[in-house]
Amino acid sequence: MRLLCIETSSRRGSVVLAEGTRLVARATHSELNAHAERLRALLDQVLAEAGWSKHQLDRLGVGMGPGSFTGLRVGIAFAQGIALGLDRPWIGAGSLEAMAAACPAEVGWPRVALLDARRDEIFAQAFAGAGRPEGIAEALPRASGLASLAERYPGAVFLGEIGPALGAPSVFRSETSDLPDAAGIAVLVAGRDPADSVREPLYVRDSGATPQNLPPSPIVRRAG
Amino acid sequence: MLVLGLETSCDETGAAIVDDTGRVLADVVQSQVVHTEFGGIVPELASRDHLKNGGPVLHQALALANVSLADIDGIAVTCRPGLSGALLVGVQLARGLAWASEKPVVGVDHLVGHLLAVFLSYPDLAPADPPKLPFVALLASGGHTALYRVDGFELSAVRELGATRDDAAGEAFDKVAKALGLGYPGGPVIDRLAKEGNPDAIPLARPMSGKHTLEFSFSGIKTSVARWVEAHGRPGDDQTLRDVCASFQRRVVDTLVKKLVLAARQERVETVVIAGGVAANRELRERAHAAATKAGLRLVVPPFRACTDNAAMIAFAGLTRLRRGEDDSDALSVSPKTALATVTRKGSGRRAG
Repeated sequence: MRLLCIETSSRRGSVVLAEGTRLVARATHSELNAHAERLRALLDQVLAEAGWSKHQLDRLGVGMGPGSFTGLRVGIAFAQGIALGLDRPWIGAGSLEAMAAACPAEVGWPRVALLDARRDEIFAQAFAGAGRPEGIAEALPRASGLASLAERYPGAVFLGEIGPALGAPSVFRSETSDLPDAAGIAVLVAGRDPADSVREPLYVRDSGATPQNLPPSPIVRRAG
Repeated sequence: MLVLGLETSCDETGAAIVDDTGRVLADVVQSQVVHTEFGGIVPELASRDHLKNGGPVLHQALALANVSLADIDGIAVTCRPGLSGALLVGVQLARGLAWASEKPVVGVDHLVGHLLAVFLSYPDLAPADPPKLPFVALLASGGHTALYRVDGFELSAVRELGATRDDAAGEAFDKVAKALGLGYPGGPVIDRLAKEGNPDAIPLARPMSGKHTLEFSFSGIKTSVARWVEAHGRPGDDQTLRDVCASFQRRVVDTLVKKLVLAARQERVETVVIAGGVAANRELRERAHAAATKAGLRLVVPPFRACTDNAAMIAFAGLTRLRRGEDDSDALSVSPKTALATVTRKGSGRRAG
């Protein structure tokens, strides 16, 4: 099965082609706020490298977050457009889950994926053996989040470039597990039933808007 | 030639299929209701809703038009002006679709879409007689209020004659409705209440109506209503509420109509057009019609569904460039600002001349 996967939840945008779980080509960029501008060129690049035509693709995979709200949507909408244009299914997978899936087999479990969430918070999610999620992705305070995770998941291996800065006790670092990456998405999506696709972005945090606290005019209720 | 249009600039997710004569084969608009409790549009919520609805709306448009993607010759997508995050959803969807199906995609200025909406024709409506070029158009919506001279079907053939210095007309309706406790959006409810009110009952500021300028200002009248509410409280009986609505609406409409006719005279055109969401206002339509007739002008008003945000107008506005073989695949970026040249400086202060 030939996969095209896209991941844009963090500052790094990545695109990979995979044959089943075997990575065939990967391209990335780290230009700030440029996922929308850079994605298409990355696609052309990996296809050229692999010598594949877009019509040979069987399914699309895309990272569903958590991460930058706008970044996520840039990748997801793009993947949806491609899926529609090629008439292939698109399958969504968690971006923190992708970090855990991108580690080599010798890295132990549980694995806790960490990602900078800005605003003094971190996104985190733990995975038990074989990548089974232990609870959902959450946003935790940057100052206290790690201590609470270490307590909840004793002996865990922490993933993510932010790990050392947070003082994580045991950190595994690698290119494709430091930040959410399309390589990890490909591992997840290769074996996933389309019915188990994550369909809505994992925003974790709400929009930040506050409802108005104004009672509606009683007159209008009658007039309307 | 068939064009697929996509629109996600504000709080409406739209997809449409339009042919090269402006005939609308399908026009699907999903209006967002998530903003109601916030009293205005929350950009993050708008973006979230566009992403959720974009795909389904697109599928629905293709199904309604009874065409497949293979029948589409080009894609047109709103890329400005609007909420950046919201625009990005439509643009990315269009980009992915264009890349995968190897079709050209062009970015469309939403305001040009509104101005050309008058050329759309709908199979279920009586054929309209489109305006002759050139014409002067009043574009009034929740985000924009301006007068334009339209000489052709592309960006370079549209010239702004004057715009609002502050609030858009639709925005003033929304803010006044909020002050009166009428909820969001404010246009339809104020229009309905105004119908039975006395437009001369409440003394309110006149919005730059006396000057021989084609610029607008609606923040004064909005404040005037807010002051009235501060002084008198929210109207305690139905008739007073109707009177406030009628007095407010009459002043806004009078100004819009007066400047539309003034612009038509200055530009020596024979046809005037009203466009944008505020063009759905009953009193604006009636008074513009009366004023145009009196001035010997022909008024053309698009059908209601072409006035409010929709993707059919975007498809039509993209047609000219698609037909010329243009393609923005390599350069499609979003912007909160229009690409049309503007003549009105926003904000307060004295103007030269």
